[in-house]
Amino acid sequence: MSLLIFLPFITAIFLFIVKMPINAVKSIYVVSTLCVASMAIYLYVHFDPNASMQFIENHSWISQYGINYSIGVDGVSLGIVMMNALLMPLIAIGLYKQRDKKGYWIHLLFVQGGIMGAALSLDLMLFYLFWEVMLLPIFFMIGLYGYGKSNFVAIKFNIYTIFGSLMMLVAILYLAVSYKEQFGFYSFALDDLKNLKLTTIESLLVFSGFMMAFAIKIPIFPFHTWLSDTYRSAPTGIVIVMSSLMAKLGAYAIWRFLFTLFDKTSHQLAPYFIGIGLFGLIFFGISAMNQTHLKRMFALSSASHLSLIVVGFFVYDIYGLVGSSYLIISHALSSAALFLMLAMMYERVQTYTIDTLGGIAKVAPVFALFFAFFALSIVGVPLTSGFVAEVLIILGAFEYNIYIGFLAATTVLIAMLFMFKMISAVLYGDTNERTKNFQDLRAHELMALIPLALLILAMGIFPNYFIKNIEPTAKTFASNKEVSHHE
Amino acid sequence: MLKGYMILSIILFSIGIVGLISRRNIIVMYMSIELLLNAVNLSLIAISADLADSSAQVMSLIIIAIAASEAALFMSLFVVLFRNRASLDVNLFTILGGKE
Amino acid sequence: MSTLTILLFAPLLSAFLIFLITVLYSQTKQYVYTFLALMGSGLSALLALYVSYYSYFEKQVLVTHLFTWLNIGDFLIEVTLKADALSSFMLLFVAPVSFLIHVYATGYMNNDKSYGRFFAYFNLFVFFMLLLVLADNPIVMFIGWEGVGLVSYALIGFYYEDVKNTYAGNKAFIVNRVGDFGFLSALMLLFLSIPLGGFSFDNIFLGLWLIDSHRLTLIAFLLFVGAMGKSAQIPLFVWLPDAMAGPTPVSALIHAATMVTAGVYMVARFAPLYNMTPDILLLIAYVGAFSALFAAIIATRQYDIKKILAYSTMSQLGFMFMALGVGAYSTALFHMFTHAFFKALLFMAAGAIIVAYHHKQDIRELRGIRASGLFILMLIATLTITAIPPFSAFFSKDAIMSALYAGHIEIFAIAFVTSLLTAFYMFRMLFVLFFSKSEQRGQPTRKSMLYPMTPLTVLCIFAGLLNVPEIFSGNLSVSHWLHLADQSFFVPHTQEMLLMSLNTFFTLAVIVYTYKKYAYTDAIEFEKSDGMIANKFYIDALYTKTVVTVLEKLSYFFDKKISQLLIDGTINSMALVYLKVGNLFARAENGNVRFYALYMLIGLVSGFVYLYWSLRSFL
Repeated sequence: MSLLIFLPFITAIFLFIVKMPINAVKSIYVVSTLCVASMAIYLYVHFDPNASMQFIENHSWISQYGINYSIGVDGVSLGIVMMNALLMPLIAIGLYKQRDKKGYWIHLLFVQGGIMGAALSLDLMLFYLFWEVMLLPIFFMIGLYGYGKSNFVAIKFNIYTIFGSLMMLVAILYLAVSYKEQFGFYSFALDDLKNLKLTTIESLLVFSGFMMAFAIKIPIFPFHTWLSDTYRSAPTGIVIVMSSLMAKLGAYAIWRFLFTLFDKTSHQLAPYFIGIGLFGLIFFGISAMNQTHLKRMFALSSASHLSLIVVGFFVYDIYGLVGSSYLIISHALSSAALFLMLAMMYERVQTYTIDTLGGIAKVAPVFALFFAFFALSIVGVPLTSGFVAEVLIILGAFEYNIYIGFLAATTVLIAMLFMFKMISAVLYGDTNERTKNFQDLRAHELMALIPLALLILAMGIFPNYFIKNIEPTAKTFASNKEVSHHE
Repeated sequence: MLKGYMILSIILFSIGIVGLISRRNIIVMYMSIELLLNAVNLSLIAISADLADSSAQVMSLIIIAIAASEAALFMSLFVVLFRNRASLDVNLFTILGGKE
Repeated sequence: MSTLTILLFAPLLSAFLIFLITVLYSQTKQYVYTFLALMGSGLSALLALYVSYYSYFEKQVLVTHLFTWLNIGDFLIEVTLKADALSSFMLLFVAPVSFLIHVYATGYMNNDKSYGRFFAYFNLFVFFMLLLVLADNPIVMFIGWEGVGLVSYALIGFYYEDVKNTYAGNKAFIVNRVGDFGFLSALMLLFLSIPLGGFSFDNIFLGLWLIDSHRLTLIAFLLFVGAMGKSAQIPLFVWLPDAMAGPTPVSALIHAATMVTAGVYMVARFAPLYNMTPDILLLIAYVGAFSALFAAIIATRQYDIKKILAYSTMSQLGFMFMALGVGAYSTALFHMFTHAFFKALLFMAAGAIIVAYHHKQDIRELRGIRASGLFILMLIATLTITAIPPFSAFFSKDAIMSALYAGHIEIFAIAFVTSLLTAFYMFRMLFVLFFSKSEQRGQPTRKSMLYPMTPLTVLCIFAGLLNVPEIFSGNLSVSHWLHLADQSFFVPHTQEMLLMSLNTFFTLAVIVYTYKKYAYTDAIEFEKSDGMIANKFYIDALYTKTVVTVLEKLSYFFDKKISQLLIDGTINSMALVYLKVGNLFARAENGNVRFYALYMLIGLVSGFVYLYWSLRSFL
């Protein structure tokens, strides 16, 4: 399983050192990510749905300070691992004709490794390390290969995220030090730190330190202003990584670390975060309505859904938890597909502005079909995976509180507000100068999109097959914490 | 006795500093720096005589030697500067501010 | 493979095949599509007839369990198809009418360049509708429910080259989704309120008595919000007239026989629940009554042939909701049954006229058309909708009227006025179209469009015989078959007889008046096309003002003001402060060595002062 993390790094370093033509770089990238994907599938197949944490590996690393290399996977992180492994090769397949810079692919490999590591690590220091590792390549990619004011945006993004990470670092160190005070030795292991006893004020502060990092990464209101600029300027590979993996990782980390470490505090703070989440859901959704730049629109739409994921986690019951984990996966698929298609579109028409598009359905029916399908799967129409996830989150929210439930249920309305107008404006109507020679999807693009579409459909029609891997984790969690019952 | 030397030394030092800050000609500023050095020298020697310890006098001799070599260095620099700018007004030399 | 599985998946399979063929090989001959489309819907129509026959005579319930959809905690959703009496009854008209409209559409869409795509959507639509009808738990029903909304979005915006059509589709779907919001919330609440495991309809009704009455009322209301959206009742009706942007077969299929009736079906399905919430029932009755009246009034000032029919659909749905509202569920369903036939026939005839006369839809431009076959069909359908005996709708509408008479006299009054208005606007259309001094000739109607109309005409005339009330020595066989939780009404036979005759008499009087006014006159030309009624009471404008504009303003405010100005502004100004302070200090660093010396001096002096200050006690 460690190979899952380090294969991307090794490949990246290999590509960096060895000089070769760009096509070879891409092929090696594809082969290496496919290897990762097949290993992830192996992991999935051998995953035991009834055990919670498994495939655990422990190696001592900086043991005098209690920092160990310790990784493992459970039902919730499995989703992120799978997405990370599956999406990365598809990016390369879909964008095969674009992006002739070696560094682009090297950076992507680094990001993949970083995300994989962050999703799997059970040691806080290790987690922090990977968390940072995945940020730096993104910084460089925005700066080097981005659009528009990419330098400004890269700096803004970096300052935002580094700020959050530093807060988290302080929080982690504080935890380790207080662990030493209470138990006599340093430890960064999640399982040990769980036993830590902190005063209310302490845990509140440490909680907010962590939360700052995660909130910026997700982002939840009001830490979202880096988002739309970054999405707009960042190259596609990174946008996909950010919207479908990194942001989800933030939400996942809330669950993995905060809920484990600060059960009581997060419980007490849950109403606030549910409030912020619901506000964000509606706020981002409505903000997206007037956007004219497609990437910005999808950025806000992602933010809206991520807020819903946060709500799902914080309502603290099995439906919300499973729903959120499911939405993490399903939204990763849909948004990755949509951003991929945007890149394909940009390659053809050189624009992201809604007003300059139109009539694509007439000249490129297959493109239009896929585009509409993925857009609808974001909206969460039945038979797509988004629907299942939304139903579960709404159910969880209703169980928490009936008013919260109603607000969460507005999600079925929110995404529609902008999605349908956008579809009409981009796909329908008459063609114009830009779109009249729009080329339909090519074979390699179809190759990238069809698996995504099939997976979305399969997850929408037979959710039980996929959910049975998440459910036991959620159940164990829910029964351990006795959270499925109201106080 | 020592007090008188010290007062003289302080007066010399102050004159040097005022000269260093207020004059714009590099050569005059250099002279002020020399004045600073010599004020320190004077106080060193006076203190060493007072304490009957000759090591400070050795130190001041070294300082004088260094000051002499500095003078040579400075003078050559001034010549180069003057060739470049045709002036020795320090207000023209603000390369340290990074704005040129 | 059980009957129900084939019945359900035949349309899906044909939709999928058509879709594959369209995508893979665009040069396919049209008859391939025709064959596939008709096979899919025809097979399910046949099986539907079989299933309802089976259910009617054998009193058996067909059940097929497919797979488990979800199983988390207590949330167990099985995909189970179940054809009980109610579902079988729905199948009885949904599938065959869909099939007939498919046949009709092969003629209507002939040589259309998107022929394949059209039938892929059409069959997909039938699949979702059947799923809605056959579902044995509300979540699966909801999937079908949303599915029909989704496909109708695609079908309304079928001619997407004109963006306006797709906007109509958007509107339909968005308004529908407002309803779905209510529906979904209701289902979630219902699930959480019922402590028993499982979420099939049977389980729900078993656990109903455990729910406290406030909660139940809320649930019933939210369910009804869903029904309002789908069945185009006030206030969620705005999408229906716009939805006429789709091709006419779409209007016939979706906006007459199937999708809009889903709301009625859903309320009838939840009859046990509604019987426990009389307040909501009353609300339903009133909403239905006002929708019916409202639509009828607007229809009197419409000129687009399809819009008139759209409003009449809304009005008829209002009648059904009135019936539901007084607890006469099977009566409402029976009206839905007859409505499916006559409304499909009306739309088909209208579509035939539109095709024959070069896609003109304004009745003022279509005056004096000469097409005797179509006229007869249209006349029969119009007589049916105005409930003239012995046409089928007479029986169904009369049953509604007597139920209303026994239940709520004020709703009865509204219904009575509405039915007179119905006669007025329907015959207005008929007379303007066919009775005029001027003369127009169009192309002959295709056979494939005429044939499906014949069985519908026959059904229009005779379908009423299936549920003959006692007063005509019938035995209400459909109502007995459905066996719903109807509330019973008693109206003395003499009164009922009187009611019928009065109704018929006034209707005939209105028809005569309409004839006087519109036949062979130019009265239609003098009608003003502005004012309250023609502008639909400014409801659309009101919605635009209150909802759309507000949302757009809010969007602008959120994005530009809060995100960019407030939050980003704060953060950027923080950065700016650093920059400013930095600049201030940078000014000191002017590169002039003398100043650096001065700073050193200042530093030294202050250092000494500090030293002196802190050490002064030792001095």
